[in-house]
Amino acid sequence: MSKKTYLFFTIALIGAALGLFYSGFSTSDFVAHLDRQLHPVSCSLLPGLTETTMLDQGAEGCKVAMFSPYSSFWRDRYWGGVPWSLFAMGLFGFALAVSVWGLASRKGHHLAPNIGLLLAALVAVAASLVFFSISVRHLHEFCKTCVGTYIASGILVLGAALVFVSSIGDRRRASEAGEKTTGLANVIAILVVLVEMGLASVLPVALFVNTVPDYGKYISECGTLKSREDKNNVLLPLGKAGAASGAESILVVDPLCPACAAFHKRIQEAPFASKMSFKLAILPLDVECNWMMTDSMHPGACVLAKAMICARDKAGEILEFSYANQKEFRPKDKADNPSARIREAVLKAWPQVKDCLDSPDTKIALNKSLNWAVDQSLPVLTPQLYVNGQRLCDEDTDLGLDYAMSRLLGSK
Amino acid sequence: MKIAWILNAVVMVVLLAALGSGTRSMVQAAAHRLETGESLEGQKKPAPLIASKAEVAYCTDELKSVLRRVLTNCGLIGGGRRGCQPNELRNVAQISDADFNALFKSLDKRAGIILFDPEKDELDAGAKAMLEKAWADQRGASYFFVVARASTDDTTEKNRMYSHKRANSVLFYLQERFKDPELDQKLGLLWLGEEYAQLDQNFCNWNLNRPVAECQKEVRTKAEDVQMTKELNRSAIISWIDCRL
Repeated sequence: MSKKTYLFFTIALIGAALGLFYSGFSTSDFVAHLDRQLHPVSCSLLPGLTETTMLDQGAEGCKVAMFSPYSSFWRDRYWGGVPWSLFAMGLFGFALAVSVWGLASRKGHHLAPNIGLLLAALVAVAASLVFFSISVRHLHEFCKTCVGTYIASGILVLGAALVFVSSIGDRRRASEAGEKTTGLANVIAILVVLVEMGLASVLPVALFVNTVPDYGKYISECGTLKSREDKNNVLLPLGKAGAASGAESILVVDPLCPACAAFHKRIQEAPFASKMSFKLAILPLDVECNWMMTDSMHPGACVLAKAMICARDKAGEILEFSYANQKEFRPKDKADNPSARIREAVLKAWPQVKDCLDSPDTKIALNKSLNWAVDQSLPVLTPQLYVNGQRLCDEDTDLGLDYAMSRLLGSK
Repeated sequence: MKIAWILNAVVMVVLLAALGSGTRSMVQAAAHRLETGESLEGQKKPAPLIASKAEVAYCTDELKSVLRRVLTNCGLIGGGRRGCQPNELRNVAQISDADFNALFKSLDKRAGIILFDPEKDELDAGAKAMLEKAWADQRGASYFFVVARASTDDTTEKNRMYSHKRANSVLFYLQERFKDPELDQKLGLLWLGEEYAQLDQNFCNWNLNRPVAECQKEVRTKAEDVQMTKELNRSAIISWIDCRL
């Protein structure tokens, strides 16, 4: 094996090691969340070397990527699904092993390890391109750890391609020096290497699937509605989402709660949404109308809640409007109360609710909505989802959503 | 060549063992935390606040105990007839006139006083507006109290009748205006006539449906004082009570 091939193997080894490093951190972050708790994630090109906190804004991209439906598959079968990064770990691990072996045995110029290394690198690059395009087109965020994996794939494919090209000359020279390999031996060697690649990629997944606990018992332990009767007609229809004949699904929301906006979007985009018939229960976390709060978490939410009550059949539209304008509706500083600003924006978009907005009847209706929460002994937090009276656990609103919903909807 | 393949086997076995044990141990650690509820960061999740009726600072044990006795005996708790007459109320509340009024003093921001004309029980426009606003501002309260009174201008029987009619005016207006099927379970009527817990000048500062001229004066003659007290007592105090009873 020539010095050049030796050098190119070293490049491939660096790429593979980096890929294993980054995909290992991604997997570790993902798997840590299988305890149904929230944890800080490593979102850095130097993961493990920088301190991580839950409030780290720099980790937003990695959180978005991890919680997105693209981070794993079979989410309805396994809680959180099977992370794609497990395959990446296996693939980069295989490339690392081939590189180590090539360098240690000095037989890296043989066709079988060349093909194995190049194939692993091409798969890694193809996967990186797919995930990069998902980040650009769907997530609009970049996860630094993922970017590390993309870079590692690039280094790996560069090293593997150079090894492949350089090895052609090495093999010719070895053949001239009397080293003979038959075609059958080559085919067998290539098959062995491919089996090794397959094993390395599939084994972590197989072990993962085999080790994940049964989450079924946790899904139904978050309480139920005391009564599914809506005697005061406080639940508002949620327009187009869901089928009228689907499972009765009550979304408890605050129009200014960012988590509600994200959850709403996730639910509406999920394939199971068509099996649900949605209704809205408004729980504004604003002391202006909600006596249960000592401080307003979302000042101005009461105005939007009243507007939703006034709009009734179009409550969903006002909710969408609130979600879309949450940034503008946030207080600008500690002294700012955005209620007047929100009111103005609502009346501009829905002038027909003007007379209704401040009427005693609307105030009473909002009060009844809040008292519905009291009668049901609901936790004072948003969002909440009740499917046929059964509460979706807060722990299952992100990674475990598909798994939990398939059980709450009775499809599993 | 054989050595190369042996080396290959060793490297692959090490790789597969590392990948396998790494994956397994990560998942098992998460499964253990899931089972035991332990947190990776050692923090316990705080229990969420549960939605409940209001219970504000003025809900002292004394106030609650008086209100509970009144509500039980005047028909709101446990069903039965609505309303309490002055002589019944004195027995039910089991406290003096002054103490009874003192209990309500802490409601000054929440409550309102609807003033009536002499010998009348009609609600004027200001009274209706005040009543609608007050009723709509239930928030987390469970009970709405209407405590009607009369001035000492007439006979005890007539004053009892006036205060009863004033309490009913409030009830009927709320029934007609809001048509709330749960009104019966929320509204407690007390009519005190002239006999029990007359209001004094301290109630001038409360939210009134119309001004009382004598209340504005810094110095009053004795006659003006009497006039003011009479006006304040031709009234009904309306208020939600933010206490869990």
